[in-house]
Amino acid sequence: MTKKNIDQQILIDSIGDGIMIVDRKGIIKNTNKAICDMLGYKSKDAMEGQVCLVFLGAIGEMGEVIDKKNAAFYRSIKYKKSIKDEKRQFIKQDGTRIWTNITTSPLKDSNKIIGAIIIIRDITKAKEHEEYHEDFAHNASHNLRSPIGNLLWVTEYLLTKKPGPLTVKQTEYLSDAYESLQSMNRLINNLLNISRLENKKIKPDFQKISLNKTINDVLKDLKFFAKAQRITIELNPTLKKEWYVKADDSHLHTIIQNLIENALRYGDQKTKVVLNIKKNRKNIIFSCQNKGLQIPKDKEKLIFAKFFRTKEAEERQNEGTGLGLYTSRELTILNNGKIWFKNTPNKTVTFYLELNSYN
Amino acid sequence: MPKKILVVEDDKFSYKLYDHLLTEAGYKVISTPIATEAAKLTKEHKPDLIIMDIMLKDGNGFDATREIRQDPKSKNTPIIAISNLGQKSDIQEAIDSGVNKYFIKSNTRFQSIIEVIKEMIG
Repeated sequence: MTKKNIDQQILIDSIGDGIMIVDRKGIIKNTNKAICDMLGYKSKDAMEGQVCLVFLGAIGEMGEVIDKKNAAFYRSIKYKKSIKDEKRQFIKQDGTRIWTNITTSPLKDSNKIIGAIIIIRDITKAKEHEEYHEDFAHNASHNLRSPIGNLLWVTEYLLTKKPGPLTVKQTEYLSDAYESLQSMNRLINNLLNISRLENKKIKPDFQKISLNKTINDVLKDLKFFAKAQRITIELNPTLKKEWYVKADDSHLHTIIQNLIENALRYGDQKTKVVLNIKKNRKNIIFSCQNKGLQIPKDKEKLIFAKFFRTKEAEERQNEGTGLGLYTSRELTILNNGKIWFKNTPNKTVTFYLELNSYN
Repeated sequence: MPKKILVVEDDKFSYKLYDHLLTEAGYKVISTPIATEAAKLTKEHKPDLIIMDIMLKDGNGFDATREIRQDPKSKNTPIIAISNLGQKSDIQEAIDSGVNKYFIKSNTRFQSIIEVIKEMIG
């Protein structure tokens, strides 16, 4: 070893984060003391010369096995750029697993990429903390939903008038109570979706979904709300045809529900919300138009931002949370779709949802 | 003879609702709040359909369903899980354990459940 090489090794051994150098095939060429300690190896020799992916049993955040295609170091080499902050689980020498945050950069020798340098930071404690919060959200959502679910069913049952007749006033109060409960339920669903979206815990389960069926299911849920808002829902004749999209069933339900609920919430009384579906090349576009508040020009870019509500919207409706459109946009992106809006003629606003059609 | 439905549910209020609404829809209801009793009651009463909660005080609906499925006589009895757990992993585990349909309670109207039951057992 030359003096220069020894100095370099001292330098990488002195760094607190784990460092690993791999060649283009992913064979470990060099490591530092921190990574040996992190993974429970007594010497560097035990690691060097191994194919890092197989040897370390890398697993991604969604539980996927990391192979050459999705390995950060390989993408670094292929695309000649650094890949930052990817979370991986590795197997330690004693068989336990460790959560890490990795950053990789291509390693060059005279402008030729000869491999990659991987910097690994132990984030097991932070992950445990995150999992604790997820468990908490999981249990809290269950416990919050339980009484709401019961009350929704009781109110739904009373409104059928099977247990006995109701006066006009009683029906009105019960309808309001039913709507408030549904609103609370949607808020819990949106908060949960956001927490899971932001922790990258939601993965779409793509299926062939009937857009018509989803719309009809949503309309059944929003029937009382539409009535309370004194708005009728008009289905364009295109909805009579069956339209299939490639999306996650529950995500699509949430997006459509948020769009129609929004239109009902901010539409003028005694107007219509018009739903339409059309095809654009290989994609299906659903649109939802209401008459009422238009989006001010200077607020157009903020409309899908988290917790954003226009001043006019706040004045008109206290119950909105500013989460519906944000959640819808995030879920739409996750489902490879597009969502946007336009202020349309005659004081109307139209929201559009474009999704891949299922062939 | 009315069709029999076994309800495995430990929340008193929910159970009362199931009992009332299912009876009114024309079904005979048998129930237990105990997960480990579900298989025994299935053997004893041979219900036409089972409604299974997932988070139960003495266990969970996944294990109770697996136990019911082990008995050849109840291998094909329709089981509907109705729970407020709504994560994909919960739904998947329920389906893997042998549940036929899964509903997130607060996101489902009771009438939709009656419609599904009618489709399944008449």
